[in-house]
Amino acid sequence: MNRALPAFMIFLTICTILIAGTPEKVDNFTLNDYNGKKISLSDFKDSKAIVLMFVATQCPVSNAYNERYNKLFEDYSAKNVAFVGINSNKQESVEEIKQHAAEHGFKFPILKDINNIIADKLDAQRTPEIFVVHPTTYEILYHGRIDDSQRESLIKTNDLRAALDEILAGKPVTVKETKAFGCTIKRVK
Amino acid sequence: MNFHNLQRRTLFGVLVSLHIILPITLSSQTVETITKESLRTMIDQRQGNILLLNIWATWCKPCVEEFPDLIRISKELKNVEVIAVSVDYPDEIEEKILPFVKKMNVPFKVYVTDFNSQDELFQLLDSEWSGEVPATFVFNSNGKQTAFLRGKHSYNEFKHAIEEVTNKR
Repeated sequence: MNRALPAFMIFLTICTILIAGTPEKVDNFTLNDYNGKKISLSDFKDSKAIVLMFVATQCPVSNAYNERYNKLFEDYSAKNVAFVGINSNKQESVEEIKQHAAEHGFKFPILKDINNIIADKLDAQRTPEIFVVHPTTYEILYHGRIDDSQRESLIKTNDLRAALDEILAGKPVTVKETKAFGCTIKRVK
Repeated sequence: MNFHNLQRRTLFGVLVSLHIILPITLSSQTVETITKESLRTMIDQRQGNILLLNIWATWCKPCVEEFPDLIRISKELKNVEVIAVSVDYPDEIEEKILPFVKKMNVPFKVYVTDFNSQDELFQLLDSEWSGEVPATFVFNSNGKQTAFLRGKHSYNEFKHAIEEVTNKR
């Protein structure tokens, strides 16, 4: 027994290292939106889930999803799911984000993540990249892509919608982690 | 024949030669689709060379910006094979990928993925990679991955990652 415990602890450590990357939960945070209004995760405590979307103004992949961001917001905000855009790109200014949001009719807030602090905490790497967070525990319920193709005509799996539908049905999310091609988030050095 | 005529004839000859030679040189550059199996084989069958595998896209500005450094690596480091795999769509070869490859006079092989899904590429490469491009992977002469360079990198950074493989030999 005494011998088994250290071996088991080593095994646990190795497992922890192997699955390290996306954290299991995120702490509550506060950032300013493009109008200077402070927005915190705790503001959405009465929602069914919080969808954090790392977005960009200049990334062609993120821009390919502009209409899909709006459709998701339209479909799921009616079901009490909160949507929050986060822009962590160092080269995209608050004014540029504001103008871009107006041009594309975004109705969800977009927060400016100065010095990519939240991107670092979540280990977000690209745009678009999605984290669905529990509204009170901030556990990450889903991490990954919106769907599996930049081209709407080639979509085979609507991964984010599937995850949200399961959350709204009170079920565990079947596919919690997905990947997709996207633009690298440009961080401060 | 006076001196001016000789000059004009020489210039004319050079221009004609350029018209013949340049298109032949440029037309040797091709972009083909690649399957998961073919890419796996390329990684595994190294034939003594180190592989610098760059994943890129024409829509990706930092990818385009680091291409000159990849070209320099390919030209200067003889023990290294550079391969660029684009995650654009195969139907974009003629319109987007090939014009870029020709414009840059890329000396190494450029492919575009023709996988059943993008997940197949993720399964093939480092699990730490979540899809952001550019992404560059270094494989040693046995096909074992020795480095994963996330985002845009410089000639010196590529060279350093390659030298780490060489030094471990």
